[in-house]
Amino acid sequence: MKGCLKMELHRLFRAKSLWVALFIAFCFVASHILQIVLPYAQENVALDSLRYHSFHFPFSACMFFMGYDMYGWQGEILYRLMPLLAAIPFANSYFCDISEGYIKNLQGKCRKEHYLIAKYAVTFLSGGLVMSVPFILDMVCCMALLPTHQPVPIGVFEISLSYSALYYDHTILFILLYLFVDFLIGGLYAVTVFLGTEFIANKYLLVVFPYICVMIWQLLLQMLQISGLDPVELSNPAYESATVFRCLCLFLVWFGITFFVFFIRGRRRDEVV
Amino acid sequence: MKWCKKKIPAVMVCFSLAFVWLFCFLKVNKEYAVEAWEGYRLGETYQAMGREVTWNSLQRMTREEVLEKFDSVLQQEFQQSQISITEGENEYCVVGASIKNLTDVAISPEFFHWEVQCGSYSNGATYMTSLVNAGISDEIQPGETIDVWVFYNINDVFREEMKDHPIRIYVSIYPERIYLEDEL
Repeated sequence: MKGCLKMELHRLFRAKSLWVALFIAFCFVASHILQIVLPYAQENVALDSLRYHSFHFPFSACMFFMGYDMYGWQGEILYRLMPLLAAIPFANSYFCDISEGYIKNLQGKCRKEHYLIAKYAVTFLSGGLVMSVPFILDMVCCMALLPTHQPVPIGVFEISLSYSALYYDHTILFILLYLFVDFLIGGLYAVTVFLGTEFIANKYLLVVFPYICVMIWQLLLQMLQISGLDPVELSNPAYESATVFRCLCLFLVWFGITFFVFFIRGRRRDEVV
Repeated sequence: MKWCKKKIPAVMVCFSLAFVWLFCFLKVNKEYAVEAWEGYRLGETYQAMGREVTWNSLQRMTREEVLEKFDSVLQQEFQQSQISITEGENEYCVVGASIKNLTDVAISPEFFHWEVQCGSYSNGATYMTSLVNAGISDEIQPGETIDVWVFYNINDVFREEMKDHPIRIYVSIYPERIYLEDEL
C-alpha cells in the first residue's frame, strides 16, 4: 500500500499537467493582486492622512482575499473554472493507466485494492491542491500588502455571509475553514472523473467531465429550486448559502458515490492488476 | 553532494521569500495597527479624539414617545412626518450620551456617524440620526458638556436580533476601536 501510494505521489508531482493547472490558477492570483490588492494597498497609504477620522478604516487583507473579495472578477471566475482545473493534473491518469497498459507493469508490485485506493487518494489530493494552493498564495500575498485587521460587522447592508459569527470573531479560522472546504471540494471535482471512466473513452473528454457534471447539477438545482447544494457556492465564502450540515451532506454523498463506483468497478475490471 | 548542489539554492530562495514576506507582513501591520479595542457599558466614560463621552441611556421607544419626549431635539421635518417610515419601523432605539470638549478649541460633537450593530443587523448608512437631530451641526465650546440623543429606527431584522444579541454602538473603528455595548 505504502509503495503504491509513494509511486502515485511521485507520478503526480512529476506530471507537467499539475504545474500547468497551478500556473493557470496562479495567473488569476497575479491578476487579482495586481489589479485589486495593490491599488487598495496604495490607497491605504494615500488615505493615511485621514488616520484620525474615526470611521476611515484601512483596507484589510481579511476583506480582500480572493475568495471573499467582491471587488474583483478573479475569484468568481476561478471558482467557476475549478471543476475543470482540478481535473487537469491527475484525474484521467486511471483511464490512461488502463488504455496505455501501464497497469500491467504493476503486476507483482501492487495489489489491486492498494492500487485503487492509492489512485483515489492521490487523485483527490491533486484536485484539492489545485483548488486550495492558489487561494493560500493569494491570502499570503494579501497579508503582505494589506493589514490583517479583524473586520467590523458594520456596513451598508445587513451582514449576509455564511458563518458570519466566525468571520467577525475569528477571521483567520474562517479563512482556514474555507480553505479546507475548498480542498475537499477540489478533491471531489477531481475524483468525479472516475464516474466518467465507465462510459467515456477519451482522455480529454474525461477532463471536462466534472465541469459538465457540475453544470448539470447546478441546472437541476435551479429547476427544482433547491438552494445551498451547489458546490461552487459552498466553496466560495462570498455566498451565504453554506452551512456545515450542507457541506457535510454533499461531501459524504459525493465521496461515497465516487469511491464505491470506482472501487467496486475497478476490482471487477480485468485490465486492473 | 549532487543533492546539495540542487537543493541548497532552492532552500535559500524559499528562505529569502519567507523573510521578505515576514518583513512586509510585520511592516504593514505595524503601520496600520488598531491602537485599542475597547467596549464600554452603560454609565461608563471614555476619552477619545479630544472628547469625553459618557453613555447615559439606552431606550426603546415608539415614534409617538420619541416625538413627545424629544420635541426640542428633533428637526421640524421629522415632526411633520416628511421622512418616509416603512411599515414595522415605528420603533426607535434611543441612545443618550453626554459629550465634553476636552480641547482648547470649539469642536463638533461628531456623533452622527455612530453605527449600530446587533447580531447580523447593522444600520450601515441608513441611520436617521443626521436627519432627526436638530443640533447635529452645533459646536461644543472648550470645557462645555452637551447632551445628545441618537435615534436608530428598529426594523424587523433589528427587532429579531436584539432578542438574542446585545446592542453595540460603534463610536470609532480606527485607529482606536471603541464601542458601547449593552442589552435593550
